[in-house]
Amino acid sequence: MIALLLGNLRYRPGRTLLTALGTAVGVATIVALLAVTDGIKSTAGELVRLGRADLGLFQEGTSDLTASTLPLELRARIEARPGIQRVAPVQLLVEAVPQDSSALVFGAEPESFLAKRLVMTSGRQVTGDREVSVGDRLAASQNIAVGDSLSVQGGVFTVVGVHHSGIFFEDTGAVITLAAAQELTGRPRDVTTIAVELDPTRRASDAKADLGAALPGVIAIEYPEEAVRAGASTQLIQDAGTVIVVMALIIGGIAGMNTMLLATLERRGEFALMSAVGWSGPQVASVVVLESLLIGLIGAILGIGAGVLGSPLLVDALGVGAIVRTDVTAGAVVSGLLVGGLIGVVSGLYPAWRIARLRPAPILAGR
Amino acid sequence: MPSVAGVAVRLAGVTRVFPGHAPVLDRLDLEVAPGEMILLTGPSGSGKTTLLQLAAGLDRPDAGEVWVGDVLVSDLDSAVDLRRHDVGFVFQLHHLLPSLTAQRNVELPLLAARVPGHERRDRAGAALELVGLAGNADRLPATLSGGERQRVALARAIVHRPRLLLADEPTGALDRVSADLVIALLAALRDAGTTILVVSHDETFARVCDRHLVVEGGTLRPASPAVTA
Repeated sequence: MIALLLGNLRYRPGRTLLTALGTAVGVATIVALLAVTDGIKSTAGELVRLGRADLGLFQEGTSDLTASTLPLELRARIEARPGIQRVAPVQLLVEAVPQDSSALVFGAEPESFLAKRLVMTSGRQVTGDREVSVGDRLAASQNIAVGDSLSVQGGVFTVVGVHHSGIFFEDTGAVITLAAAQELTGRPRDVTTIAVELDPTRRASDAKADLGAALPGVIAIEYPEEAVRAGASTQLIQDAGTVIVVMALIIGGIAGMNTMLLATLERRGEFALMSAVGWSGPQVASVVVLESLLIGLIGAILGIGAGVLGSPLLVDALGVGAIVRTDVTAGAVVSGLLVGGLIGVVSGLYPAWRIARLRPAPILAGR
Repeated sequence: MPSVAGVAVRLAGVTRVFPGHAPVLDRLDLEVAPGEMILLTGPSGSGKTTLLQLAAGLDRPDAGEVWVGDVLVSDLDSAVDLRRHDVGFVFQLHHLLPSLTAQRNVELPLLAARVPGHERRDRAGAALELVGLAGNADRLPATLSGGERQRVALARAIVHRPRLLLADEPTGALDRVSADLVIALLAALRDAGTTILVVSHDETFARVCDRHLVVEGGTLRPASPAVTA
């Protein structure tokens, strides 16, 4: 049976490839979208846990977390809540470094736990408002060393240190003082987020509920998934992704079915022959469905490759390339294979039904 | 009307009508003894191929009965089992699957019957050897001559050792040498006990067949001595 299936696919390589490409487009779209949404989750996870905080506080209902604005006055109210050990207000600057637009710049108070947790691989931590510490990955990629100058949103800063924290955005970005960051944004009393460190005895879920109730308009985030739900843009991307996945399945299924139907009817003489030499209707139908499944899986493999390669382009097209890394997970690959297989099976069902009902006599007699 | 012991194929009062046409077969009767080889001739459109298809269960009569051995074929919802085990068919156009090698084409009936792989290969190889194509097992149909393709089709028709072989113009597209080879193979099968119905315009068949019948006007009649010659 396998030889029969592979023989048919190999015998008509052009048609096999073109049919598979139809599935590949759908699978590539799905894999790329999953890579982006998974990337958004991991990205959000790192943004909400800056400085390895227990909770990140953001403005509720913003388009995305980087667009959050919180008044600095909140700090005192937060510190007064039970179980709060330390807080670190952070002003985030996006696309502020001309040398590398993907580098994020964090404005943090030099004495905050966020700044203090930066391990300096050379130089020292930031203390002055015209000083900057760059992450080791940014320093390596841009050949930046202590003593160099770095332009941040039009202002010139002196590089006083190179740090490593293990947090992707901190290591690929830069840290300046909170005051300097607020000056660059022109909003001296606002911050983007407030990182919160809890007492070891305080449960994060309890603190989150308490802060949510005490601070209307503020959302406390513990897990990356919550960050995705909180950001309207990321939610929009995820919702759009779901719609596109469904559309890809429907369009891929219909297009695949149409192609398979034409290809199958074109070969009805072969299927009539099989029936004439003892193949039952279900046996002939299974050949059609299995062929379609194989084509779907070939399409899935092509689509997964295209999706992996194309997901960074999709991120750029969505305008989130500066803050989102794509993340192709095993789940995305498995999903691609499942979707490809599903498109293949669905595409083959109607043609198989038609072929199973075929009357071989008139075909074999040329009537 | 029941089957008759000692009869391999029996058509009793068989009528077949295609919409918009006069009956192609009209109350036709035929009895074929086991191991008998019958040549069917007649003008184009006289119903020769239809008769073979009725015997194979590929088509159903509008009236009458078709028996193969003790199986009332005309009453079957599906004659797949009959074709899988008891009937072999050589078609007018050899009808090989172009994507499969000669060996795989011959294995098709055995694959349908779920014969294990090693046995399938052995039996297909033996059938190809019988038709003189053992050395061509791995070739695709497109690389075979017309005669070779027809012999592959014959090997496929006999690989499951059918009791009844139906051959529709098996030499129609062959040169004389290839045609004689196919005729000799069919005669050898008949000698080995296979019942054979052959539709052909090739008069050479008349020399090896036990009976020569003409399909005309929807019924059968014996061929005249001049035709049989």
